Formats: sequence, structure tokens, C-alpha cells
Amino acid sequence: MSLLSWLLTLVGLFCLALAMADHHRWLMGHDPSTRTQRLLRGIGILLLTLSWLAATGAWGPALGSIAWCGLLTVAAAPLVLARTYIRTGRR
Amino acid sequence: MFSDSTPAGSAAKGRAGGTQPGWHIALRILTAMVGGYALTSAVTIVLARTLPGSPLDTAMAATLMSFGIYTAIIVWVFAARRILAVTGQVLGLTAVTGLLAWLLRAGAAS
Amino acid sequence: MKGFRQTQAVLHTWTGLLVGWVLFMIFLAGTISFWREEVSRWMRPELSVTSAVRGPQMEQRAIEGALAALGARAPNAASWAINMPGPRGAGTQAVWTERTKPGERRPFRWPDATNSLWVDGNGQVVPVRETRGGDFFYRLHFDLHYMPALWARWFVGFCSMFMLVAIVTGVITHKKIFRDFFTFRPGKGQRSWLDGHNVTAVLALPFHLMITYTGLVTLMTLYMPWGFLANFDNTAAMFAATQPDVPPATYAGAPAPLAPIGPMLAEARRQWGDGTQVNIIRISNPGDRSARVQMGRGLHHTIRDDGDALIFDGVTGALLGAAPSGGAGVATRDAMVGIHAGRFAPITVRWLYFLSGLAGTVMVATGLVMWTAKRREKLPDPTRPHFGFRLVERLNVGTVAGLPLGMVALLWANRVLPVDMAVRWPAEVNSLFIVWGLALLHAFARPTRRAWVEQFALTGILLIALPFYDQVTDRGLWQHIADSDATRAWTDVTLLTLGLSLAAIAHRIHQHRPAGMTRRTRASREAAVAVAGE
Repeated sequence: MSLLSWLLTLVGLFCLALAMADHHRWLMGHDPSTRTQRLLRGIGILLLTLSWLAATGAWGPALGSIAWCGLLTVAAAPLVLARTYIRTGRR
Repeated sequence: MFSDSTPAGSAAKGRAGGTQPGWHIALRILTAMVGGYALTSAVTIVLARTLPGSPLDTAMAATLMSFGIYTAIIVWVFAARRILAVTGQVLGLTAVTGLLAWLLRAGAAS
Repeated sequence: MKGFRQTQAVLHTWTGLLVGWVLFMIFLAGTISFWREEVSRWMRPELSVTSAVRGPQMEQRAIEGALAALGARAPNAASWAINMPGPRGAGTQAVWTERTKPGERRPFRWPDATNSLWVDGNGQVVPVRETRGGDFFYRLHFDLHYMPALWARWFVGFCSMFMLVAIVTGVITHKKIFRDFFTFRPGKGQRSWLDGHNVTAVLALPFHLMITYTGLVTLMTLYMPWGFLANFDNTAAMFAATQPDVPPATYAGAPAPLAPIGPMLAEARRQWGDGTQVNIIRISNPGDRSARVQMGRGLHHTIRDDGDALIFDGVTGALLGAAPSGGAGVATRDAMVGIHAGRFAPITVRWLYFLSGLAGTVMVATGLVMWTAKRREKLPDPTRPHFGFRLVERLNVGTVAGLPLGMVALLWANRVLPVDMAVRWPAEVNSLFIVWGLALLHAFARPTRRAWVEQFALTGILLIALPFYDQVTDRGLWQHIADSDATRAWTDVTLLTLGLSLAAIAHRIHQHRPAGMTRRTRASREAAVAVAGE
């Protein structure tokens, strides 16, 4: 459950990042349309909610919520590193 | 975003435009820290006496909130445009809440 | 709005700088304290994994062993205390306080070789080197050292309040941090520092906010007593309301044997619920008719950080009173303290705590370095910076690199000082501050970049050398693996990893060729960690 929660957080944050113009351009080479942006943001928030549910399922509501905060950090860190060091040639 | 090297200079530049004398910054810091603490204490006492629950529970709950209240007051004092006005407001609010706190305490003692 | 955001920026910069160095120490010591039991185990190598206490029978055996040892060693003590190991610790500590003459006040003393002893899992006394173990880092986190705890706590509270304001104003000031989310641009001088500061701040923002606020809550009766004083005569009366309602016993001077501990333990487990461990047992007036036994429950089972104290009559063994169960306010406070200390956290969550704490430490460090990076480009003459600038720059090196060096020196002192040395733990602790002081001097004596490199490199090498020293002189990593002693094995692996990371950082700083004279000292472990993969 904790691994699932982490994966959901990872993908959720990835969607949120893609909803930002800068990061979308980095990966896709063009700005996202407003619809895509809204869609990605919606999916991201949905996935983060699911990851919170998974965390509380694994650890209980109180401990799960704290663990979820930690998971956010641990999931965001690889995204930051990927964004920094993987060059897509589409900047 | 960040300003330059001297505290007085940068803080003064932070105001909306023109420079301000040094005592304005001193007063702002004093109002935020000391005035803020006094106002927070008064609010905490009022909350501790008025929230529903046992004396221990209400005191706990009020004190738990106090650090958030203090932070909000500090941010408010530093955000305010006119320092003399905000100092007056903090002092006035402290006086009113303090009086209320004192009345509640006196009411409980009798 | 622009004016508002600017004042918040100024507030953020200057509050941050003023208390940054102390916050760095608080963050680092607090982060290490998440491994308090592991550090204690490492610093007391005499206590092997066989001294761990698992299950009610072992618990009773250890306590009975401790009681027997106390009875033999300090039969006339005013009080005894038995500190049980947590689920990740080992060894039971028995402490006694000698009876003083009426009116005489004995100053508080930490357990040392003259007032405490250790028993293993079988209840047998084992000789253990005198050390504070992980408790030192835990206390350093809020009591600092060499000063009255009360002053230290006020100072730490003051800094924490600054931290809270810095977090809130940081979010207000830099609305951009959310736009720059996931963005780190290394090798761009000041811009990279800002990115590093933002990334570590935003990535763990919920953690930072939580840990700062709940940290203030842990000592709130000191910082904000007025709400309590409105409802109680004094804070002592408030504290009494959370404890069992049993009047204190006065020393009778009439000998009476202590009731067997087994039934009391069984009753305690009944009161707390099955599977709960005892954390601490305090016995006042042992061997006297007035003896009282107080038990606190282990804090590893629920998030509520409350010992749920029970008081027994020491002669009859009857339960005299239990701590009242509080309402919502008390429960919230207990939960907030529990969240802060994380005593309940299982190992995965503990790692998350540790990593978030490291992110906080890095956030403070990058914030400090940014202050100089920001100003270096605006200096009238970068080769001859003004005094304030140099001071901040050197204090940054001496703290961000010097404090970890001092902490590693403490670990080495734990290994190399004679095991049976008198007044041993103060010597260990002094070595931390002596080495830290030397590191500060070194930072002022050397060119800044060299100072960063040399201190990080030395810290890294000393950390890497520790497990090897253990392997050569005593039991090392192989033996821990052979014993399936996961705690000690992982501790060694962690020490090696930390050491290698610091050495890599030192190497990167050394290799780094600055773009221009004005950006000579882009050097801190954080940025180097991040650029390590470049």
C-alpha cells in the first residue's frame, strides 16, 4: 500500500508539473492548451487524493497523513532531478 | 525580491515609496514582537475562558491556537502601511481584549 | 500589493539570517533525534541485540533484574527510575537519586556511572561505557548545552517563532516558488541557491510547517502560559490535572519490602491495553512504608504522546490512581506532540521523517549561503568585502560544515576515550564543542572555498572511517549482519553513505571552477548533492 501510495503521488505530481507551461514545453515542446492544463490538473489532484487514501489505508488516518506529507517530498525529489538533468532538446 | 545590505535601508525601502526614519522600523519590530505577544496572550486568555469544555481542555485548545494568532499579528504589523496607526490598533485591541480577559477572570473568581 | 510583498521579503531575509545558525543546529540535532534509539545503541556497543526487550516476559525479567541491582547498589535511595528500551533500543537503565538532608537541594544530574547502571535482557548487570547516547542530540535540539535549560528553551522558542514567521512570509513573498516548482537550475550562481532553497522548502513545506508549529506546542506551557494561568492557580496545578490524583507520600522511615512487580505490570497492561510496553517506572521511597510506584506507558503504540501515568502503592501493590483521560483539547495537544517527536513512527515513516528533516536542514543552510551569494555580486569591491559580509560568510562555513564535524568528533570520542574513564560523557560532549570551535577558527583563517572543502572532506573521511574502526577493534558490520542485528548494520551503512556524500560534496566544491571572481564560493553540500549527477 505504501508503494502504491508513493507511485500515485509520483504520477499525480507529474501531471501537476505537466500542467505548468514551463514543464510542458520541456517534455512536449509546446505550450499546453487551457483544456489540457485543466485536465492534467484535475487528474493530478485526483491521483494525489487517491494516494492520500492509500496512505491512510496503509497507516491509518493520523499516521497516514503525516506519511503522505513525507511521500510528497520523496516523490517530488526524483521529478526535480529528472527535470533538471534529463534534456529533451525541446527547451 | 530581496533588498540590499543594510537592514534599516532595506526595511525603509520596503515601505510604499519614500524613506522612513529609523525609529519607524524599531517601532514596527517592537509592536510586532512585544505588542503582538501581549495581544496574543489576551486573546488566549479570553479563548481559554470562553471555549466550551473542561478548564484544562479549553486552556489547551486556546494555547494551541495562540502561535497561529501570534504569527498572523506579526505578518499584519509588518504588512501595514502606516506604522503609527497599526501600533495604535494593536495597543487598542490589546487593551480591549485585556479588559475582557480581566473581567472574565474576575467573574470566575467571584 | 507590491509594497506588502516587499516588506515580507525583508522580514524573511533578516529574520532568517538572525536565527539561521541556531535553526541549523536545531534542525540537524532534531533530524538526528529521529534515530535517537539507534544512536544510543551505536554509542553503547556493550549492549548487543540480545539486550533488547521483546514481550511481557522479557520485560518483567529485565525490570526484576533492574530492581535487584538497584536494591543491592542503592538501597537507601530517595527514588529509583527504570528506563525501558523502546522497540528499536536495547538495555534497561536503572537510575537512583540519593536521599538528601531535609532542606538540602541537590542539583539535577544526568544518569552517569555514579548514579546508574545497565541490565541486559536477562536482568544481569552489564558494564556499559558512560555516554549520553542519542539523548544528547535530543536534548541539544531544545536545551542546547552549557546553559540553563530554561534560557535555552526560551531562545529556541524565539528562533522557532522566527522560523514560523519566515515560513509564512516566505510563501507570501515568493509566490513564484509554486510556479518554479520542480525547477532546479544548477551552475547559475545565486539563481541556483534560490532554486535549492525553494526546492527544499517547497518539497517539504507541509513538513516544515508541521514540525515548527508542533515544536512550539511541545513547550507551549513555557512560551504561552497565560491561557493556563487563566484557568488554574499556577502551571503546577495545571500539570497536576493531567496526572493521577494521588497525594505525594512523605517518607515514613519505617522499612517495608517492595511488593512484587509482576502483578503491578499485569495491572498496567490491563489498564493500557494488551501489547503496550512500559516506558518508565519511578519508585519513590523504595524500601519504606511510604513507597510509591509510578509507571508510564511506552509511546510507540499510538500517536498520542502521553504516558498515561499509573500510581501504585509500593508495599501493597494496589493501584491508587490513573491519569484522567482528557477531552478534545488535551487529545489534540498529545497528538501534536506525538507528530512532532514521531516516537510512534514505524521504520518506513521514520525514514520519511528523517529525509524531510534533512530537507529542512538543507533549506536553512541554502538560505544562509544565499544571503552571501545574493550580496556578493553587489559588493563594491568583491576582493575586499566589508566586515559584515565576511563575518556571515565565515560563520556559514563554521556552522554548516563545522557543526557536523563537531558531531562526528563526538562519535569518535565515544569510541576512543577510555571505556572506564571517570566523568566520561562530559568529555565526549566537550569534544563536540572543542572541534566545532576549532572549525570556526579554521573558517576564519582559511580562504572560504578551501574552508568548505577541507571541513566537508574531513567530516566525510571521519564518518567513513567509523565503521572500519569498529570492524578492526570490536564487532563490525560483518558481525552485525551475522547476528541479524539490523539496527547496528543499517546504522553502519548510513554512516558510510553520509560520509561518502559529504566527501563527494567536498570533491565537487574542489573541482568547481567558478564562472568569475565574484562567484568564488558556490559551495555547500546541498547544491553539490544536487549537481552530483550532472
